[in-house]
Order: sequence, then C-alpha cells, then structure tokens
Amino acid sequence: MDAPTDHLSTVRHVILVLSGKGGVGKSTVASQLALGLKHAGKKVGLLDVDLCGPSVPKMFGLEGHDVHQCPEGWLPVYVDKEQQLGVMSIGFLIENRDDAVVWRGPKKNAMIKQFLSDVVWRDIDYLVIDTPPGTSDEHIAVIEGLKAYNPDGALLVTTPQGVAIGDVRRELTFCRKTGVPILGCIPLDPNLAASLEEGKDFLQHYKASPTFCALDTVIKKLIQVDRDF
Amino acid sequence: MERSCSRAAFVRSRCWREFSAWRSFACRDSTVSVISDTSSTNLQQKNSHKVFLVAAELDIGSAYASVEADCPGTESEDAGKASACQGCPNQTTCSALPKGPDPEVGKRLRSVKHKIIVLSGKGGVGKSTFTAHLAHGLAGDENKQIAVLDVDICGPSMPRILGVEGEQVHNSGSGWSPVYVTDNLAVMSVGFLLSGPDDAVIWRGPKKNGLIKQFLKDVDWGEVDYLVIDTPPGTSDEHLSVVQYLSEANVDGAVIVTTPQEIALLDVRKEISFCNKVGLPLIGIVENMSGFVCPNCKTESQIFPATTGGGEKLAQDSGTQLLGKVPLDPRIGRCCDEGKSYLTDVPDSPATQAFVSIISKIEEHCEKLQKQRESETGEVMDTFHECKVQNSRPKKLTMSSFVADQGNPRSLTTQPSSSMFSE
Repeated sequence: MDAPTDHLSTVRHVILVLSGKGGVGKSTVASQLALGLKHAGKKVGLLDVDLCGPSVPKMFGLEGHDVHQCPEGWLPVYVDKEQQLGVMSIGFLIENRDDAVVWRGPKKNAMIKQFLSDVVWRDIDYLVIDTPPGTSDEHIAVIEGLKAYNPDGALLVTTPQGVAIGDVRRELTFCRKTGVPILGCIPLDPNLAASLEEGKDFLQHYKASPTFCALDTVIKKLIQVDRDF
Repeated sequence: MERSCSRAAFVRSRCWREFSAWRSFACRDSTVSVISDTSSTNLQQKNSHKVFLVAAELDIGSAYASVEADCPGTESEDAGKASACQGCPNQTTCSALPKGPDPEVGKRLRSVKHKIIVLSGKGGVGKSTFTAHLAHGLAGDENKQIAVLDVDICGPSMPRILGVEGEQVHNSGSGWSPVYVTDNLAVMSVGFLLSGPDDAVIWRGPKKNGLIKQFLKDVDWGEVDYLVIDTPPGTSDEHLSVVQYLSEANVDGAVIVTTPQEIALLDVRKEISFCNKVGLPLIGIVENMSGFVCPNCKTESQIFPATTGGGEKLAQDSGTQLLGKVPLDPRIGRCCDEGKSYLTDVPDSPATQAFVSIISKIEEHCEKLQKQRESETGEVMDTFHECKVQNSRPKKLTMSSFVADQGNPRSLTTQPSSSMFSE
C-alpha cells in the first residue's frame, strides 16, 4: 500500500474503451478485445469502471466470484487457469446482484482511484478499461489516474445511427481536451449477444462469422499500433 | 470587438482558476490519502481477505462526504463555511447553493399536473426514444400541454430526436423559455445551450446537479399537463438530484425501459432497487427491442433473446406491471435521426400500436393517481398557479451567458467546452 503507483507501472499498454452513448457495445467490445488479445498470446487485464451498471462479470460468466486481498492489494478475478486474463469490476464487490450502487461523483472517484491503485495486475501486456457512457466523473477520474502512465489511446465505439454519432462526437471532443490519442473508430454489428449472455468466448466459437473478422482486424491493428510506439 | 475580448479574457481567467483548483485538488488528494481510506467507499474486509461492498448505501445530500470526512454536505447550513471546506475546489459552489429542499422548484412545478420520470439502468435501451414518443403520443391530444425535460447532461439526444437541433433557449423575466416542437410540446435540454454538436460537457456531479436544479426551477413551462423527464443511464448524480429536487412536487412515478436480454436486466434491476430506496413509485416497465420482424422475409427473430424471462418476469419480480413490448423496427431509429414522430410517420405498424397502448396505460395510471390525490386533499388540481411575465423581451441563453448574464454565484460559471482540462 505504501507505493500504490507500482501496480500500473508494470502494465505495458493501457487502452480505454469509450462511447458517449449507452448500449452501443462498449462492454462487448472491451471484453472481446481482451479475449482477442489473450488469444494473441498476451497477458491482459480488464478493468470495468462502470460502477452503476457493471456488465463485464456477466459477459465472462464470472458472476458471483469474489475479489481477494493479498498483501500487495486486490487480486483480479482470472478467467482462465493460466491467469492470462484478469478482470476487475465493482460487480464482484456487490453482495446481492440487484443492489444498486447509488453514488454521487466523489464516491465513484474514490472507488476508481482505488481500482487503479490497489489492483495487483502483475506483469500484464494490456490493460483494457471499460467505461460507462458519458463524459463525467468516472471518465475524469480515470484520465486523471492514468495521466502518469501514458495510456496508449482510446477506442470509441458507436452504432451507425445519427443519435449515437452525436454523442460519440462529444466523446471525441472529450478525448481531444484531455489529450488522449484516438486509435480508431469501429462500427459493430451486434451478433454476439447470445454468447455474452452465456459468458462464452465468442472469438473461439464463431471463427467464421463476419463479426469475428471485424473484431480480429481491430485487435491486430491494435497490436500493430502498439508495436509502432 | 472589445467586448468579446474582455469576455474571452474573463472566461480564460475563470478557466485558469478552475484548472488550478483542480490541480491543487489532485495534489492534495495524494497527501490526504483518500485512497487508502477504505471507509470512503464503504469497503470492508470480511474474513480477513474477501473484499466486498456494504450494500450500496444511499448518498443523498453528502456529495463530498466521501472525499472529506468532515465535509458538511451540500445541503448543510455550513456548506462552504466549515473548516473542511477550506481549499476545496467546490467551496464557492457549496456556499452559494441554497440549503434544504428548494421551495422554488415546488413553486415552479405547481403548474405541472403530472410528472413522469423515464429511467433505465442500462444505456441505449431506448429511454430517449421512448420519452420522445410518449411525449408525441400525449401531445396528440391538442388540449393537452406536454413538456419534456432532458437531464442527460453528457449525452443530450432530445433535441435531435424531437427535430429541434440547433434551436436556442431564451431567457425572459419569467424564466427560461423552452423550445417548442409543436404548439403543445415543449422541450428543454442541455443540447440547446451548447455552441456546437461536438461540444462535450465535461462536468463532475455537483455542476450537473446545479444545472438540473436550474432546469427544474427556472424553466418557464407555463401550464403543463405532463412533464416527462428523460434521464441518463445509471443510478448516480442526475437521478438522485431529480428525485431529491422533486421530492416536494408529487412525482407520479417512473417508467422503466429495458431490453429483453439478461445483460440489460441486470442493470435495470439495480435501477428498480434505486427507485425502491428513494421511494419513487413505479408506473411500469416497457420492454423495448423485443423481437424483430425482417421487412423482407417477414420472419421474426430475437436480436436480444429474453433468456431469463425478459420484461415480463422483471415486472412480476418487482411487483409492477409490464406496460407493453415494443418490437424493433429500423424505421423507429430513422424517425429519431430525422426528428420525426414515428407514431404519425408509420401509424399502422405493430410498434406504433404498442406505443399507443403503453401511452394510454400511462395516462390512465396518472389520471387515477390524480383522482386519488384530489379525494385525499379535497383540492382540485386544475387551479394553475399564474406566472407573471415581467420582462417580455427574451434574451438568448447559452452556456457562456451563465457567466455574463446571470452574475449569480450559483449559476454554472464555466463554458463546458473549456472546463477542467483547458489550459
């Protein structure tokens, strides 16, 4: 606890998944991205900072798992035995899954700071951060907390209709203002709802689908971008 | 020219203050070690190594209690004056905020008969779409006056969905005049106060709350039958504020919008427990995007399968009614993008029928409530409180005019486009 900065300094790349609009598939993209990177042989951490609506535990079929404390801090919940993909979400901290986290900004900020400082990611290649919709407390807290670690960039998720794009444009402005570089925007065809509901690994089960190709391209691009850095 | 220069200088200095306040706040945080203070986030350790959250406790009226243990809370008489407030970036905001429930909100909303809040824990399930169509549907009766308030500060979509993008809000003696979509449909949204579609409102909670309060207090709706409030996803500042500010104003209830799949229901259940906690009555649940009939081959497919019973089961479990199921229809999305009413654009579709039946159920519910209230108080609600128009020359209202025009400290003092991070 004495040097809370240590945990993130061993993380090689930090990627934020953002969107101004809700329900466009941020969590879906974030979880598939994490899985994709894992399949590419990387060690990955996924941090869910959507405090009021954490969906990452469900998407990995990890509901009901607990977070454990070790001397260095909190241990993430691992998806696989090899501990290649670790997940941290407020969903693991809530006793009853119907409980609402009715918090105003400052409490959320404190929680996010704790997530950023106390989670023991160990030696991971990528930290993917899934965010709630909007440009508010959670986002400011994450960016503030990450400033010292040079996040690689943000992945903006949108759906094709005008209303969603309007919100995403605002998110782009947020990124520009806060100085986060943007890696690219991808439109997504939502075909993987079923596998997410069951917590299955879409990338492994549906290799032939066009959605897989789209996701795969994005992941490859990301790895490429990081090499160029 | 000279005037605009001086204003720019003013904004710059404001921004500079904001920025340095933020910087000092960030530095102070690390020394105060908020982070290691587990009580600040209600975290406890059970059995020595399992970390869990004490069932999410309600955080009304103590916006800063978690940051500063001694923070008196925004509603306290000492807000901004206590010793803990020294050096807090929100000190001036807190000290200027009026204390306790604001009687002005109640006064302003006396002329509103029914208040409906549209909620959902999940984003993108169609809250705004439903709000807009509820408003359109209610406004179909020309004798009724409908108002829509968009409290989604970071992602205002109402202007676009209602087809009034780019309109401006004007300030007159009787308050802010909303934007009229039709003669009997008024709307207010933060979208009207922004200078461009790319402008982001990068605000923390207290500022958002301030604006929401102003929306409730200062918008001159006139005599309104229904006020429909559209909210952002989640259970946080905006939601608490709306409920808190409306606590004296007899809200009819909340309509919960969900999609059928479990991922959405997970979040929506949280929203329902939020409603129960704050004592907000539920009108019912709307299941949106339930089923999709392909326009070409006419086969029905479930895009979001209801693996756990969907909205029906949710309504049963939460002891409320399922108002109806609205099927997915690409034309709904298109109408929203173009700012048209789907109800009048495609009047014979199954989705329109669903909307109409849901809207009539909501109307029924509200009328029943009103009768109940009238019989309890013996008061007839038709006696509207009169708004006196003192100054009929309207002034254009923008975000920056918060600084220049109003000059009162509780108004929001920075341009959203140049908040925290501009240097």
